[in-house]
Amino acid sequence: MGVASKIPVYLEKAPGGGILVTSIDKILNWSRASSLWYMLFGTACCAIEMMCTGASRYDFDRLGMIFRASPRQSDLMFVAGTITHKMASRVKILYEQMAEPRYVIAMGGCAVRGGPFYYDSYAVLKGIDKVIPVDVYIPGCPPRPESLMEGCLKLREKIRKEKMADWSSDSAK
Amino acid sequence: MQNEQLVSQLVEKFGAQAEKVELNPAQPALVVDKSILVEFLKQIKEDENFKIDYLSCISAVDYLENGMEMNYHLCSIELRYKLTVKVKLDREKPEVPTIREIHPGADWHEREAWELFGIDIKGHPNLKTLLLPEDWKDGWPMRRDWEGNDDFVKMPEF
Repeated sequence: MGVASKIPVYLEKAPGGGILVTSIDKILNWSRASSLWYMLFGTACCAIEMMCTGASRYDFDRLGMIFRASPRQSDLMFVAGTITHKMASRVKILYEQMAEPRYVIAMGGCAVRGGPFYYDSYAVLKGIDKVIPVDVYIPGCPPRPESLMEGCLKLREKIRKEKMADWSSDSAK
Repeated sequence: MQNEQLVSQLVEKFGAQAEKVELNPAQPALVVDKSILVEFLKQIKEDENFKIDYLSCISAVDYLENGMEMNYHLCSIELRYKLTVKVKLDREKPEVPTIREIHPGADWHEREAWELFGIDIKGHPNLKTLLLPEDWKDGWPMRRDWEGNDDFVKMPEF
């Protein structure tokens, strides 16, 4: 039973087979954390690093993460890059189009706090958390693929701790 | 055609209305009065000797007390040379005629100059924000005396 050893279940033998016993929380969180499909959304150089992490050397696939070109099919959004005030409303629309539960990772200095454009800029939004809720912040300019991986692992930890009782209709957090 | 030759020909042709500026030998510059700008660009585009048929960029500059300036960076694809045409503007009321009719590519450049510097482009049919948010109300952000808006953080002195 290779699968059973990886899923948080209790296996009970019964005549002719077996019964798997688990909790809804555990099985849902396990499945969500193990297939975080992320949206293809990059606005600056962080996107290059995100592509690199998705490619074979670092390989997001081994976390079950596959890129999706549509917010409707995505669970996770990397805000990878500088978000201008004009782009901010578009980011919000994309976030709202994602199906719940949805998660956001603010990748790089720009998405966290405006980055190098914090001072003397009329155009750049100073932190994506002014527009949409953020689960994990990854600093760096841009963060290396290792950091991005670490951020995703942190998000998985967070998802595994979720409880069904905490769900609400407007947000899965 | 050599650049020097070109500029002297232009100055000869337009006389007092086109004044040469010494900047970069590779890209000679002329100062033209804004009242003849459209006619000037039209003539150098159609004239067989000049054939300046491509507008590569428009840049606006704010010199504070020395007024503002519109720079039209032009080149001739066939004769292979460049030319910058400068127009001096009054800083209190900057306005310049549109050159969309001659170079259609000027459309977005002119919108950008309008939204960032507040240069009124006379005759432009579609002056609305291009790079700034649609509901921008905080003035002309690329002007050098712009104070900033609520979200603006000034770089501290070091």
